[in-house]
Amino acid sequence: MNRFRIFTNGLLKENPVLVLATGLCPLLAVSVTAINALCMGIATALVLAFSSTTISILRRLTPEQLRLPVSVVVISTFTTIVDLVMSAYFPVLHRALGIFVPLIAVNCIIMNRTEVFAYRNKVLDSMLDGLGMGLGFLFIILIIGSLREISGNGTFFSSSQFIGYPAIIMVLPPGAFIALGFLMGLAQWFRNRQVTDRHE
Amino acid sequence: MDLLKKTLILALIASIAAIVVTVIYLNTKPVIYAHNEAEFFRIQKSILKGALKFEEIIMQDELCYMGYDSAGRKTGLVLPVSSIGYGGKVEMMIGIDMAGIITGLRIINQNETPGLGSKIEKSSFISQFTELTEADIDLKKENPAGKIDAITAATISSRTVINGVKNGFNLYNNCINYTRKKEVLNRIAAGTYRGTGEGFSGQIVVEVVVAENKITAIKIIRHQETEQYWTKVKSGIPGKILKSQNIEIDTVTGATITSQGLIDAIHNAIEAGEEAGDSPPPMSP
Repeated sequence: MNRFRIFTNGLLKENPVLVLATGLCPLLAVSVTAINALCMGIATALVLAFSSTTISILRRLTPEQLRLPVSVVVISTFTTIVDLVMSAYFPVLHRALGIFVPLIAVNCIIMNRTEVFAYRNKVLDSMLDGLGMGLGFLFIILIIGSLREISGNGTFFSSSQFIGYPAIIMVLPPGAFIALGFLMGLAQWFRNRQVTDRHE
Repeated sequence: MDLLKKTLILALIASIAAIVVTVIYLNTKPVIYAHNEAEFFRIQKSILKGALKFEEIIMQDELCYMGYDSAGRKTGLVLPVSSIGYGGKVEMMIGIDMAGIITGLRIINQNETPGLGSKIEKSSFISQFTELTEADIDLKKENPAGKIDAITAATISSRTVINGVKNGFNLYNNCINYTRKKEVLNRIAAGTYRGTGEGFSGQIVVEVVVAENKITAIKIIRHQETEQYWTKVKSGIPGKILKSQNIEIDTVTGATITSQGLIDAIHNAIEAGEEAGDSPPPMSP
């Protein structure tokens, strides 16, 4: 697979949320406002990219037995670094994301990609895969966050309210599932259309 | 790869990770601390306008902050309080000036229902509290004397804030009394004052000598306490008061009633000094 394909894979073809359906928990919990979603997406993407790269560098040193402990150590180290840097330089956002920053360490996307890709591929490829998957996640969480904030709160990136009577359900947990469901359905429809187009 | 080699590899990776995290932690710790301090100071200033400096007042299990303006005068108190709401503890900070009027209110932490109870954070709700006194703090629909409109469909959360503010006034009164007692020495003219307190087996009489706004000596005139308790109290309390110049101190463990008797006697002597503060001293040493 050429390098570019590896990168774009995570964005569309194997988007972690829409196709692989992983990393849904933080997605649903944090996407209440656009800015929270953006920060969570960036934090997750950074941890994923760095973790994939590091684990790929260490891959010859880690026999089968050590893979899980090494994954845990590497991923939680990067998560802690992101957590500390965020609370020092972006304290307001850090407080808004709360417990979900440390929970990046157990984000399924990261655990999955390091096991499936980073351990078996070269360093640069792993880095691109991590970045691609991370950006794919960021893309989706940002769309859902924006959708929920606009329809559920009437604001966008904490602007002044421009929708008089927003549907509050969208900023509550059911709204998260509703938004994600619609997006997944839309993605599936696109994929079906592509298949039928190709058959014609 | 044998077991030893695997163990060493894992140990090495974990050690490097620990070192990296420690370095970053040590570098961010002062930034985080400074930010928290600055944020706290900013909140205090926004609640008690006009105050530029805050002094922490720690009582037995309560805490408040006295605000001073640029000239060193007291402008009021900032009081951290909490009450139980619909979704758990609601933490808030209230500013009350020296006349007992609320200067500001801020919700620090709440877990109420988003979109409904969470509206207690909005300025449209909390701005109602400014300029009110203790008697005004009640929901209009629950008390005709109350001046606060509850949030529609969020009565419980609104009531939680009311309770918190009431707690704030209690804390305010405690703080004012406490600081007043601590500053009492500034108002006493030099002299020797006698006071009595009720101990376990009878009265305890003391003489307190005040010179230059300081307690310089505490003399026991008479007591009827049991020897073993008395020695404990006598060796602990007068010394502590002389050292800290603070008559608000804790009783000695295991000799509570005797301790309280002695403390009451000393308070009594100080009160005599307060009363004499405006008139000529009652007796010369």
